[in-house]
Amino acid sequence: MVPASDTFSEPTNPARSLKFSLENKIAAGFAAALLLLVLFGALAWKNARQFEDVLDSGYHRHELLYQLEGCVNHLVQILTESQRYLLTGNEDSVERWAEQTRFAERAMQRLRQLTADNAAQQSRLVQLEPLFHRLVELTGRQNSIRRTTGLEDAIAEIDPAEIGRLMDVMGEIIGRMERTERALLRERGATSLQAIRNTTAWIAVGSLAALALVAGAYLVVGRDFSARRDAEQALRRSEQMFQRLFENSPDAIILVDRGGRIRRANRRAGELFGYGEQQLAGLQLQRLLPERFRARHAAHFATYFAAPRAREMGAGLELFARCQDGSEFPVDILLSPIEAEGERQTLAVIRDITERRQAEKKIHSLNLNLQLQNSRLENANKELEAFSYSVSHDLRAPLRHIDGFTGLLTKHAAGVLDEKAQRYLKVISDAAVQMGRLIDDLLAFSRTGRAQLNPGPVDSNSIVSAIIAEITGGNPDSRIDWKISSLPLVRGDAALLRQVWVNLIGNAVKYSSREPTPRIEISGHVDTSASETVFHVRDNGVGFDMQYADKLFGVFQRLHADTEFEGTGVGLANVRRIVARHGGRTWAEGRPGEGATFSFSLPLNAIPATDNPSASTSNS
Amino acid sequence: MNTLRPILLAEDNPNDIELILTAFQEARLANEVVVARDGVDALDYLFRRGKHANVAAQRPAVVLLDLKMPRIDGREVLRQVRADPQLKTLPVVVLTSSREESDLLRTYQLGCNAYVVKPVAFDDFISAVTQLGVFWALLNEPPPNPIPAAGS
Repeated sequence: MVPASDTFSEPTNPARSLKFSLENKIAAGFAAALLLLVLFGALAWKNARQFEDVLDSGYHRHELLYQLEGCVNHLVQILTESQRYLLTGNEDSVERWAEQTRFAERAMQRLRQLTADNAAQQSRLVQLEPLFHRLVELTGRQNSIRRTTGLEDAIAEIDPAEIGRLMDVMGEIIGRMERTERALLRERGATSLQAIRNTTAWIAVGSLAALALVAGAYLVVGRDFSARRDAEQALRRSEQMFQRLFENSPDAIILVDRGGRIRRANRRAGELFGYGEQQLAGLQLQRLLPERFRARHAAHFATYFAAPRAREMGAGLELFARCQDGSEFPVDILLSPIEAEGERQTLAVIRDITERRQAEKKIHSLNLNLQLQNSRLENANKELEAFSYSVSHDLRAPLRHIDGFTGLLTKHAAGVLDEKAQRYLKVISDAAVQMGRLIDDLLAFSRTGRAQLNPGPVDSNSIVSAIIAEITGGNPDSRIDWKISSLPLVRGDAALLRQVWVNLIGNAVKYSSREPTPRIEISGHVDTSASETVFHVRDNGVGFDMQYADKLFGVFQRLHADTEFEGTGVGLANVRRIVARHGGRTWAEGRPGEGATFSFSLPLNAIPATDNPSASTSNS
Repeated sequence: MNTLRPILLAEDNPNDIELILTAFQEARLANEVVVARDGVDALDYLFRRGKHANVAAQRPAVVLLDLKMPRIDGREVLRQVRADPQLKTLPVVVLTSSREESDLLRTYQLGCNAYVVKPVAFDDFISAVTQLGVFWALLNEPPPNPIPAAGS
């Protein structure tokens, strides 16, 4: 099982990183909007002030003009009334004259206030006032004279031309004042209007800017929101993926918090432990363990959370889990630290290993069986060795004695024994010798089965030459025609393969000995397609009937009588066994009277590792 | 050729003993043949103890040693002989029925001088024994006696 991640992994949440900048952007947007609002407020206030100003000053100016006009009226009335009095002598006129004088005085006082902000107008007023007072003085004197002395004196005393001149100058001054006021009014109005227009323009610009800002903000925020939405979608998809993986996992997965409480479990966990859906969440983890494990588990749990890392739980221990109904089953548990729901939790993957345990048990018992078999085989082998040992010593001795004393008897009683008796004794002797040979061959046969193979490179050429040399050396007038080809190198046990050659060549020599010109061909070649090396020994001797070919390699099987050719029938069985142990095959072809070819193959690769000394018998 | 030393034959089977003695006769070997019936006997003779304690035993020219004997077998005899400083150089020829490789290996490792398998065929048997006798008793130069140590 592959362990999960090793550290607490940071969730890569793109939405989070976006969020920060989005908040900043929104804050910035709102700050800008606030700023603009403040600006607008200020501009609007300024505008209002200006308007107020305009109105105010307008009002101011108009009042001034009004007063000026009032002044003019009053002055005219003053003159008129004084003239009237002059003419009529009616005291009402004097009252009216006084009233108008007072009005005019008040008007001038008011004018003095109103022209406080304009030095030029003030100076004109300063010019006006003495003139006014002169007029009042003159008309007042005129009135008092008329009252007292009469019309003619009044006319004679006061020069109407001077009054007229005063009136003109005052009129002129007032006129100038009026004109100035009107001009000022116009001018102020114009500038204020311009200022208002400017402010309005700024407001318009500002509005546009605000609009642009809003539009921009909308775009930016909108983009951010869609990015966030994408991120959220991606997150949701990944959540779904996680959910799917979590729920559909073939292993039980549970998330456990520090307090040992199960926070989350997948479907398989429910199935495994026999709980319904959602029943596992909230349970203490301990509930899923058999009671006897709980204490130790609690200790392990604490240490695990102290230093969490991905590992197998209770490595080497046999763990069991407990279902809801109390039944237990063996488990493998893998733990991995994980950060979930903002805290450190543990991810536990639980696998029901009942089957695995069973398989393990089976393997174990099979192994035990094998071991038992092995030891039985070894015992059998040992017994066989003891048997051979015993045979070596104990069977040969009596045979030796039979032949020995037969011989002694023959010598001792040579004179007494007739031909028949001597023949009988010879039969006994021969039988004993034959039995000796059989025993030797059997022992050799048994040894080829038991002995360990010592694999190494084997030069068949030198083996064959040595054997031939022995044969021809021991038999100098042998007429055998040897045809030896170069033999390929092979890999095997040299001693055992030598026995093979001894047997095959020996047979070839034996069974062709009756021919006038015995010919023996020995060849070999490598067959790469079958990956083996093949050897042939062919003779032109008596051959055999293919009908009995399968008997050839059997133990003690012979196709010729002892009287024709001596032999024990073990040689070829030996050959087959040795070649089989090397992983090769043996076979023969022959025709009666036309000789035989005996062949064997050895595999190209090394001797099979499954070589079991006492196992290989016949076949192949 | 020095004084004829005896040949010690350690062999339990009486038939084999008879055959071997007959063969020696045929070969006209003059050496005395001392027969020990088992390993104990052989060792007693060689170490001049037990029933041979009083016999003025001579160092044999060669010991013909059978492997399979009751009580103490040939291997043990060989081991003890080779362990003794006096008898270490004594020529020992193992004469036995077994051609088992394990026997061969072990006896040579124990230090036998020769290993001869008793042939079944009578003629071969006679020939082998004769050759043995002639070689070891006559042709071979036996090792000289070692300087005797105190006690034996």
